[in-house]
Amino acid sequence: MISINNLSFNYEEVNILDSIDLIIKNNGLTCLVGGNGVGKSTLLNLIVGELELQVGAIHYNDKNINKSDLLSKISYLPSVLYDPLYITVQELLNLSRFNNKGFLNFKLESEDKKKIQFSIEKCGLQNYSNRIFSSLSSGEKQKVWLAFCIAQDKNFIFLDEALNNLDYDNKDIFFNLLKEISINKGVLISTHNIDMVIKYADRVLVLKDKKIVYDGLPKEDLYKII
Amino acid sequence: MNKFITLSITIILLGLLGILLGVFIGPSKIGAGEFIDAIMFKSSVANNTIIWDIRLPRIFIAISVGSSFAVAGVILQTTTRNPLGDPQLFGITGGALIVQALIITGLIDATPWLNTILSVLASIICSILIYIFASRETFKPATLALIGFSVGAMCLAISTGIMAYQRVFTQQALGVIGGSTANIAWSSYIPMIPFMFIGLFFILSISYRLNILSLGNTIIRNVGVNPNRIRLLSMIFAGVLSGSAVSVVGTVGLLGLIAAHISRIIMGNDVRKVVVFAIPVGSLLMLYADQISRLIFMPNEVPVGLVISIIGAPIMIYLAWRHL
Repeated sequence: MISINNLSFNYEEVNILDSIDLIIKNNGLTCLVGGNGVGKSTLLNLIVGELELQVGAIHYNDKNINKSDLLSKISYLPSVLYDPLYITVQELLNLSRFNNKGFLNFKLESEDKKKIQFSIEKCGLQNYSNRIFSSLSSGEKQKVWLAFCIAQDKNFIFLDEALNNLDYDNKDIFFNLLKEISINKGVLISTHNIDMVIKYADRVLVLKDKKIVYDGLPKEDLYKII
Repeated sequence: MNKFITLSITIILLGLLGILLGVFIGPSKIGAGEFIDAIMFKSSVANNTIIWDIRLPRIFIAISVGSSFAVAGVILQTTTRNPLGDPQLFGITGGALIVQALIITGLIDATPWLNTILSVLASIICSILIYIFASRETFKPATLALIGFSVGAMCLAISTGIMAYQRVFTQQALGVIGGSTANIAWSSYIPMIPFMFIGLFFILSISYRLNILSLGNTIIRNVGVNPNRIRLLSMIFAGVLSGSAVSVVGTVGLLGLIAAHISRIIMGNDVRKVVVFAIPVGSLLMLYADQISRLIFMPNEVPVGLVISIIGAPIMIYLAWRHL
């Protein structure tokens, strides 16, 4: 459980987030919605430590936790991702299990290989392993990045608009997949896709005017609040 | 494995051919018998000198310098996610170039060891400066290239200025700026060797971690690695390699760039393999360029750096067109 207490953030004198309190549980699919520039990415970046906290605190299971330990619990995909040059999908997914075991290479144990294989199957990437990552379409790349997070198998998965390039059918498939994963992981995704939010979310957070103005079950007239 | 054997045999044959060219062909005719005598110091004094002090050191120097620049190129391309990565283009050799200008004009009176140590230090300073400028906010590959390029251009201007002010002969100035392996004594070459081995050893031992640098900072941190620490260390050791090479031959443009790309195209994506393979690729490129530089207008010489640029530019254009 990640608890965020009294979090405020200013960017160049402009107040973006104002005393936000939020608890993210170890399971369930939470969707973070809100207009452009409302601070969704800022909130996610603060939790994963990409931005320095200014005011407020973040606790893990009600205890203090340092940045790197917290990050070891969260898989995070930022909204802007760089294409790794030259490497194949399989090589990219292998890097998700990077470690310092082994001398001249990191060593994939059989457990690591199983998790990578599992993520490949879950995301339907069986025929992609030997493709060069940078040659894929933007939707296919997002599938690979999601597989990357699943293979990491951390307690939480945070996605910043990570499925927005998928076509309608694939969005349905992947939100369904997130829902399935969220049985034993806390999944938080920021998105503009209200249809999917209404269909799949366990919990909706609406961010507006520096505050979380709605925190609850998805409902049909969600777009009115945003 | 088959590919490995084919590549090894090709490298060895090409290497041997290059060495034979370097030993046997030149303004003075030396036959096989005389060569064997000269190797054992049993030929005439002139022949002994030609083999031991003129032709053999060049071969060793070409191989060492070629591999140093090539590995530095691979490291820079990988750590900065930039296909333009090259010790000269990124300005890392700039500091060492100024040191060379100061030494050649006699403004610093340096022994070969001091020369190499100063060049390495100057390169490390350039690496760190470029790194600091480029990573003040967030690390962007394009910023790094722009800053590196500017630092390099400024250093080149300063060293040219120093040489112009002190009225250094054109031939000498060209040797420093264009790179030359001519008339270098063993004593000037030997100080480079320890730095080369330290740099290569360090880079090989961390190269498996470099694979991960292609992922972008957020993801790198997410798999538990501090991207900036590895980048800084890699740039420093690229500085050690290229600085020590510059102290012997001056700057050789494009070599690191071309060797790194050739190596990547042949070896694929794994940085470890690309680094290891860059060693023979860089050595061979330099070895053959050096033969061209001394034989094409025999007995006059063209700076080897210019030869590399002239044969390298078309290769680079082809590679960019075909593979990037």
